[in-house]
Amino acid sequence: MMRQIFIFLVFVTFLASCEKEFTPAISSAPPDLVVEGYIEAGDNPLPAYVMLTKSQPFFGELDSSAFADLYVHDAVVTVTNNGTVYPLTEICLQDLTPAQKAIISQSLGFDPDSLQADICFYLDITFQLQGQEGERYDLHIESEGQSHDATTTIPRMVPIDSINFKELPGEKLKDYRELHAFLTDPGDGEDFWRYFTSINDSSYVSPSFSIYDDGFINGQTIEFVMNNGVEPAEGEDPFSFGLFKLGDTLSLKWTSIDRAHYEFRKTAEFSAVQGPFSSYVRIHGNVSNALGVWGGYNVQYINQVVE
Amino acid sequence: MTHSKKLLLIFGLVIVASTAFAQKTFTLSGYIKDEMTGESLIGASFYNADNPVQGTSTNAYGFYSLSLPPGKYSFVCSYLGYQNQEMTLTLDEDKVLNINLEEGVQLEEVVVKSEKEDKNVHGTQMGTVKLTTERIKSIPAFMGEVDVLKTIQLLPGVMSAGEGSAGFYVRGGGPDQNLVLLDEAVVYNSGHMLGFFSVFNADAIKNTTLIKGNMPAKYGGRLSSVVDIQMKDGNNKDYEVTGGIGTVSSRLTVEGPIQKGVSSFIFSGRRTYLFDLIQPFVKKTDFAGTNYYFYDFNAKLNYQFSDKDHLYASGYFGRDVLRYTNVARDFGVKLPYGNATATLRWNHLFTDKLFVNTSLIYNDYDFSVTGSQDKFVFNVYSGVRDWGGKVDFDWFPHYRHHVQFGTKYTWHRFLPNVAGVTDGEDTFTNDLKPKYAHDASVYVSDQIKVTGDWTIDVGLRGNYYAQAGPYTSPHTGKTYKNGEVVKPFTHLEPRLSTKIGLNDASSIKFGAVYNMQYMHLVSTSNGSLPADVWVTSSETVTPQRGGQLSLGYFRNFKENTFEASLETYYKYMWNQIDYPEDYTDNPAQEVETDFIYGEGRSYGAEFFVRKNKGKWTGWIGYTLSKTERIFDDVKGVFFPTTYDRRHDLSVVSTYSFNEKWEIGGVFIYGTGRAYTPVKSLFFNDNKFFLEYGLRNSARIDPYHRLDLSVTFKPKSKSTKRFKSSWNLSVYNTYNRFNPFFISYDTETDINSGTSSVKAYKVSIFPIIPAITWNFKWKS
Repeated sequence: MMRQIFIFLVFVTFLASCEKEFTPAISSAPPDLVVEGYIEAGDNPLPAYVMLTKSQPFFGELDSSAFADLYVHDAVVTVTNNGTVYPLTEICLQDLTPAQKAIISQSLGFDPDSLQADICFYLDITFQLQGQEGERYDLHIESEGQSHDATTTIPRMVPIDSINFKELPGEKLKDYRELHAFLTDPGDGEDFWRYFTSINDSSYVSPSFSIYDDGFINGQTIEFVMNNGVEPAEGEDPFSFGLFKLGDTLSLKWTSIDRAHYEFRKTAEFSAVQGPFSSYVRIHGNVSNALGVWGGYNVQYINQVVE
Repeated sequence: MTHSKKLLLIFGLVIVASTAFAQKTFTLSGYIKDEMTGESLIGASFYNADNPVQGTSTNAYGFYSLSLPPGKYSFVCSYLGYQNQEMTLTLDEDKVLNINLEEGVQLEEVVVKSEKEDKNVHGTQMGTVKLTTERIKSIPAFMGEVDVLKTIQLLPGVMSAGEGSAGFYVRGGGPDQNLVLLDEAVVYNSGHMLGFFSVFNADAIKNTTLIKGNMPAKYGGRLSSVVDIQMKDGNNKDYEVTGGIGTVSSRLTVEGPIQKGVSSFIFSGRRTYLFDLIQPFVKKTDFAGTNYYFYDFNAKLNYQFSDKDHLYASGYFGRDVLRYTNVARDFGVKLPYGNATATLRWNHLFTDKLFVNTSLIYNDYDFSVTGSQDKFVFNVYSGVRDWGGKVDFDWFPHYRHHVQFGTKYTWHRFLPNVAGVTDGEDTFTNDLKPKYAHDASVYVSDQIKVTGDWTIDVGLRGNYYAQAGPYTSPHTGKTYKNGEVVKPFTHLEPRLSTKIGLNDASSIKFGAVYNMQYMHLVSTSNGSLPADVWVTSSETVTPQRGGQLSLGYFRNFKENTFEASLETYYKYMWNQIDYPEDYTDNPAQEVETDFIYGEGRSYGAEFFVRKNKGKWTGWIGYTLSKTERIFDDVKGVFFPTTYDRRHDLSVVSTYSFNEKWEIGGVFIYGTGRAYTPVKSLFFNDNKFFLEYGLRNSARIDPYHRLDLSVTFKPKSKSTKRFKSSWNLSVYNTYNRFNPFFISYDTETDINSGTSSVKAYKVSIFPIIPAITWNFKWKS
């Protein structure tokens, strides 16, 4: 909260600031393995998948071929749950049929029509690995002679009670609505959440600040404002940032996550805030010898027309 | 034997031993004041012209006392910027001699030469610089705002917290390690407008003393420095109105006698108005109601009951207020913060050798922010508040001894970030409770002139600090009552400084100090922010410790026209506090939950040459230093702090052409600030994130800047009661692009499989001219 206020202060104070682009020193450190893997339970869970890439030294531009080179191939990836080991198989979208590609890319948040890049990930092609609430999932990766481990749990679902849209005062934003949500915290234990929005069946996008915890609201019901992760399109009022346009259909993806997953997200979101009043934040991942996260989601979807 | 008992024993021994000197001497004592205004002169010298070792200087209230064997003496009374007074006296009984000095014109031909303007060489104190407000006013000022804290940044060993900032670091110490005092009251946040201006209105300030290392035993509680600022007492002879209209703020000061020569008052205020001026335009936008301003108000009254009793009441109140409103989004933020201090002091002369000051002190710093959107309201507030008292004795038993002793007690209340949210019906709070602490100390020191060339200043300070109830321990569950001790700390702090004169114009000095710090301010930013929270040492937080050794060579040239010094220091600090690298603030819990502890070291050499007299005055300060920290949680290796600057150069100069025209210039060069570079970028959530390398392992571009100013005093020879002057200043004259911070912009288009990352150096202050009109009216 304080940081957000100071982002604003930075904005106010340094309207007249001047910036010059520069090329920082390029680190010669060897790249790190980067893990991005999720396993879901709840409403319409996505299949568990793991994307393996390599970190890049500072670059100016990355074209599609260089982008494709980010992916780490031929790794041995397994997920273990209750003693059962599920091997994940590497799949690249270019190797799939158009129909398979469409299904998978959409479910993973890409637009299949405009997706030109080849995206590779590791997936349980037997679809035996089904995320369950309250379960623990251990990820093990063997790649380029190194082992990497991570653990996540899919926490209990603490759902949104309801949502509604509210008008804003004045004429300026009369075509937009603010999203209000109601949530009741169970009161026992710790809960963490993250949300995404999709407008008119677009991909799910999380806003810049997409996470919550129950530190303040333990055991109570709270009404709060949620932002649209989808940024205003060109030509739309920039002041409508975070708002929802009348007539659009919102699909809200509300998820419960565990502490390690929350810590990763929180440090990642804070690290994106830069300015004179913020020092750097090192992103706190949960995978050994690697960057990134292996996270469980317990998912709730709410669809509603903006009115 | 406990530390406290040992301390009392030493305290007693010193007093008993020193009484031996109280025989066969007569005492000359009194006050040294400004002839025109009646303001007491702090640190003025009074000495035997034939044997300068038989001398003393005035204390913080302008009092001096000199006990000498009977005889006939030629005394000189001197104070920089004032004309010397010489007098011949036969000392055959105790005498009271109050002296009024007349301000001298700075021009060379009329300055009375004074051998005693060589305190630089002959005093025992090292790393100490005194600045009068008049001296500060002649230096080019940022946006025309004369600022004592920015001026001390131009001294060697003192680093600015950042472009335009009034925050500072001393000899590798953190921003919370500076004890900033205004008439003895601690000022916990000395910055306005996120630190771009200090809270000290120069019109209300008489004197500023910076002690960089070897702080005398009477000061305690901070590891790195003391900035002791005294407000003016107020002219007790004539009414005066002074003020100015500047680019950023306007000022008005009214002072005068209540009863001529006996009592006086001073009221001084200043306020910014830049945003007030643009309000008509703001009102027509979606941001109607948005405003920012700060103001300060200083007030002081004093009354001299008799030759032996003098009462002072002084206070300060200042606030920053920011209001941001976005009507279209029904969003608003109100952010007020500020300090308040109040000091009541009573000077009493028990005898002509024993001066005592008793002070009651209150100070408060509070910060709050309230934001609202529709019916939702969130607020956060924090602060620190002290109630305290102290008694300080100055005892002059013999001209070879100046004994100072005293005691102090403060009751602290620390308010953590108390946060609350309401959605119109229910209120949610983090329920954090204030913490309390007892803070007591006793000290004794003696400045001993062993021989004419050798002086030792030895001191000892004893501290008792304790976290106190009401409090419920989260560790043990135990509940403590009001004032009940939760976690006590007892420490002794020895102090030593010594001077060996090599000849009349040069000396060598050595100093050693060990001290403790029980209150901490840890910031997530590179400097400090008004929202940063002061935290007490407690059952969770251990006190900071520090030790410093310093050695210096001091030399004056050309009959003290130039003073020069070379000081070296080595400082080591334990229990240094920081946040971990992956810290993100969590309003639901206390900040100290996340603290990490490490150590720090700093060493360096400081060169200083100052020209005090003549048409041309100014100084050159150069510091060569290295400052590092080590934390187990930050890779466990020494890394440079953000304010580690290998080279730091300041050239400050003013030149008076005549009584009408004066020009001033400041040039600054500093090694680029250390920052944490990006090691790599990694892909997650369809975008790239930054993975940082080793902390502060890269450097931003070197910092350099030239400021210039011209002051024009029309009709300066006029005898009219009303006088005015114009000051034109230009900040960053050659428009240097000094990077203030680095930011990165990443954009990824996952559909096309392309990404771009850009790094920017952002600077904030280009060339900034400012004009100020100052005036003075005298009855």
